[in-house]
Amino acid sequence: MDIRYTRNIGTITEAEQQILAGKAVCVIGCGGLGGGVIENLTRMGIGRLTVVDGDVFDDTNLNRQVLSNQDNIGHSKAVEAKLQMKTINDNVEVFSIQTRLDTENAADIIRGHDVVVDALDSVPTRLALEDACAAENIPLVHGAIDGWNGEVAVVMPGSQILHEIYGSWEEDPTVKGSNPSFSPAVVSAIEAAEAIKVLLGRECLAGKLLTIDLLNHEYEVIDF
Amino acid sequence: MKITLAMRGTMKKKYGAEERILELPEGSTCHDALMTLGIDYRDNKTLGFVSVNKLRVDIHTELHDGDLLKAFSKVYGG
Repeated sequence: MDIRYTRNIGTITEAEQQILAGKAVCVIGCGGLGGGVIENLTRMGIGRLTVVDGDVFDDTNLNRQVLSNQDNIGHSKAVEAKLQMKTINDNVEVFSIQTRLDTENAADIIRGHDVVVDALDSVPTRLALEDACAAENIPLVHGAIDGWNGEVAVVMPGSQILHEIYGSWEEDPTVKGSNPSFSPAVVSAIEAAEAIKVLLGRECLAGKLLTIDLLNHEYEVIDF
Repeated sequence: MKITLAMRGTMKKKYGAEERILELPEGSTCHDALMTLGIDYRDNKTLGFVSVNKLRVDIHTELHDGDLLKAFSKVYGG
């Protein structure tokens, strides 16, 4: 075993570390949530990561997106994710896809992965992703943030948690989301932990939604 | 019957953080409980879903004495 994984052992076993090296995860979105998820999975030693984002970094990302810095404004988020992960763990094979996921390309992008992680900021795209994961029979780890609040769920193929919570979605153009640094840090770490649990067959948030309120310290698990 | 209603997430900011004990007629639903307080979720882009006793339920689910109803806001950023 690579010495870099020494401190993983105890949390997971050496055999489980080996299992992770043979797994593939697709992270949709390389912004606030995606950056944290990608870094966590890279340091944990996932075998293959596909990172997907059609956007570039801008100055408004600097408050929370860990892959952004003052020198890479205007650069592709997906390409930056790949470049930065290579400096952290070159055991991990990282593929970057510079595109926005949609109903047309979703199945092709996620096919062949063991887990997909939702690190998106668009509800319609999330719904398309849930449909694609169901059709491809791939577990989906969902995460979202809104100011002090966040949520994480594991959507196993066949369940439709995202359609249940966003089904009546209507975009409100007057509402501008507020996302500080700490909410994506918390939610992305939990998403990464859930992805690891799914990959290792451990008990996870399957069919449940963890709701997080960092202002009032209220954390609840809701059954779906 | 008496039920407890609590807001979660940004619903707290909009409708108050305190838990309320509501006295409702038998057969009342989650919808009825919210409407009792003037929370018309149909015109409201904040409400995501409701739970009763930690189980996500449809808004028209019937409530029972002692139930704990929670209204969660939509969380959608990334």
